[in-house]
Amino acid sequence: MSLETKQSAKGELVFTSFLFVAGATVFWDTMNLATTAVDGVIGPKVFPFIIAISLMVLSSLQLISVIRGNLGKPEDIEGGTQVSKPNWKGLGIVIGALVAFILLQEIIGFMISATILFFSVAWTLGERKWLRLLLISIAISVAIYFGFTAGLQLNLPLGFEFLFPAEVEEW
Amino acid sequence: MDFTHFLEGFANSLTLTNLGFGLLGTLLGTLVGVLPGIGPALAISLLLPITFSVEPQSALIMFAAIYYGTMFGGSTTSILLNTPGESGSVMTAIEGNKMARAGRAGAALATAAIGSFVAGAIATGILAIAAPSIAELGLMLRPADYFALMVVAFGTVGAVMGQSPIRGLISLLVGLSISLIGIDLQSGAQRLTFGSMNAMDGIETVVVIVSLFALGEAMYVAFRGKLEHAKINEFKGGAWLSKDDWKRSWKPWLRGTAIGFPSGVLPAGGSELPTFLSYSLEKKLAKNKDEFGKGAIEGVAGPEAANNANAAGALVPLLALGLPTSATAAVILAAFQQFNIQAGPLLFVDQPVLVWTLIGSLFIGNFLLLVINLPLVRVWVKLLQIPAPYLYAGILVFAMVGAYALNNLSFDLWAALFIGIIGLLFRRFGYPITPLILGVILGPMAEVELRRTLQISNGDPSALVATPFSALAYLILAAALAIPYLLPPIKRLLKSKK
Repeated sequence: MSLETKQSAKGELVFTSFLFVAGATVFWDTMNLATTAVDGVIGPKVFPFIIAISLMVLSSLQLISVIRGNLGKPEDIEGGTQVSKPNWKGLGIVIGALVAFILLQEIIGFMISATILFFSVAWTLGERKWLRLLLISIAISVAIYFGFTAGLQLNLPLGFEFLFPAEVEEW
Repeated sequence: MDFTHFLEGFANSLTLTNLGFGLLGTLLGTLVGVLPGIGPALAISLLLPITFSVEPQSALIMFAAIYYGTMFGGSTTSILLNTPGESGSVMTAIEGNKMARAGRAGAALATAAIGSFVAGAIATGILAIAAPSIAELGLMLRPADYFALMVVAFGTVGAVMGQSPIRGLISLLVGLSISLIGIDLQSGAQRLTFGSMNAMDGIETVVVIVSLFALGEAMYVAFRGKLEHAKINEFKGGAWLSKDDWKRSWKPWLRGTAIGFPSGVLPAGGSELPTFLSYSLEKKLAKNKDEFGKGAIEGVAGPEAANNANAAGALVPLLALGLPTSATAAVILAAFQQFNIQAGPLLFVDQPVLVWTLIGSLFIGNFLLLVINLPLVRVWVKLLQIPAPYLYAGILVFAMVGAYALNNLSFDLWAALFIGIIGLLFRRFGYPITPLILGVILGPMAEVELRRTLQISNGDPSALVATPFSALAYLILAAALAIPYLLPPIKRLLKSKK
């Protein structure tokens, strides 16, 4: 076994164990469920029990199969090719950009945080013409904001509410 | 078939609004089919927020048109780019791209588009005839029968999809676990909420779908992918068929339809299997077998008809029984749920206008697709030149909007991020996504039927197999699951006898 397969085997073992833990969590939660008198014959426990036990059994079987060297094949990439070397930096930037978006959008508003998200993701995926990218990021974020708020009557945060504390409620 | 309602629905689908939404859906669907990295299930779930401000009828017409449209558009990418735009077009790419390199792109595009149209028209016709009768049967089904149907769908989709049956079933169980989160409506018990107020309402279906497809895919591409500039095959002249091409195409179209439609009705997990079967069949039947692998038109005509017929077939159990058999059908069911419309046997009784207008719109959409695909093929080719990084960035932003706009809660975005990471891990370790989505959407329904059955029988589990229908369903499931394990030993036995 080469070093690379060994590492991916380790990764798959961790992931399969995580699936088992997920099953165990469902089991534990079902065990500790408070039951009431109105439950009737079939309470809220039966269905989760079946799921939890099946998940624990199947992930255990899968764990054995992975230990025996039965590794999963990574999916193909649409519109590109797969690289065997994991790109942790790229993944980190995408997840980081998403976390930043979630934390920031209600503070600095949708338009700015979506611009940051769009820019950093496209940059990470290989776009290098930064000025064009920046302009397109801004244009798309602004267009989506007005398309959804004015066009579809949905709410997206405008942001900067901290600048106008509680003014709206007074009115 | 209910002919008056059918005519009424057909007339209704010709109103300006419905035609407009149908046209919009066909355009969006073709666009989605052409672009790599975005499939019909993701496209429809990204558009689910419009269910807040658009009439149910219009939205459903648009979603169904998108489903048909992706099957048309996917072929363009397969033929001109050799990277299939979506999973139903993988087989088209084999012969289609070879034809394009040999300067026969026009014929390949034309046989794909006309074949899709023919298959779509026939399959929609069968849908219009079959769905109401199946719905009538559905009215006679008891809770135990419904539960059995769902277990069959779970079992076959779980076992058919993905690299190994066990991976598919685990994916399904993860979906079922996610569907448990929140307050149990019958007893008021809080399951898997861990004390979170936001988790009490459960995880929104839209959030699950959007994060699995959009976030999971974008993260996976960043992690393991290298995006390339598309090299587009040249193509001159128009997209049309010569007399000889017509002669060679029409039989594969009909055979593709015959394979695609039933496999859509049955829970076989989407369009990969029927397109593969159709390709193999055409290869076997071909007079000139050497041509296969070098650009045989039959290898494009068959699978392209099969994937369109498959999409129409998947709508039969969706409309008649409320049971989705593919990821896209599951998302359309989620749209029905957003509108509080119950898809299933009662749909034809409660909402005859809606359902017949939808079916009428499918005929019109199918025709519109032929019209916009053949002459406009050059416009779609232009779209292939959008750089992929922009596409993925745009999909991600749209996904976050879709997840947030439902309830305006940051909680939904955190849930999306978490489920997106599950989507990334599933892709990395070869677990299929579709069973998970079916689990999330069908889980609550399956639990209701299970409890009803056991409530009536006073807890006696034998009630689950007591009806003839349910017993038969479990037998079929057992057979379907056992075949892959039984076949190799039988084959070996036969060989050793020889």
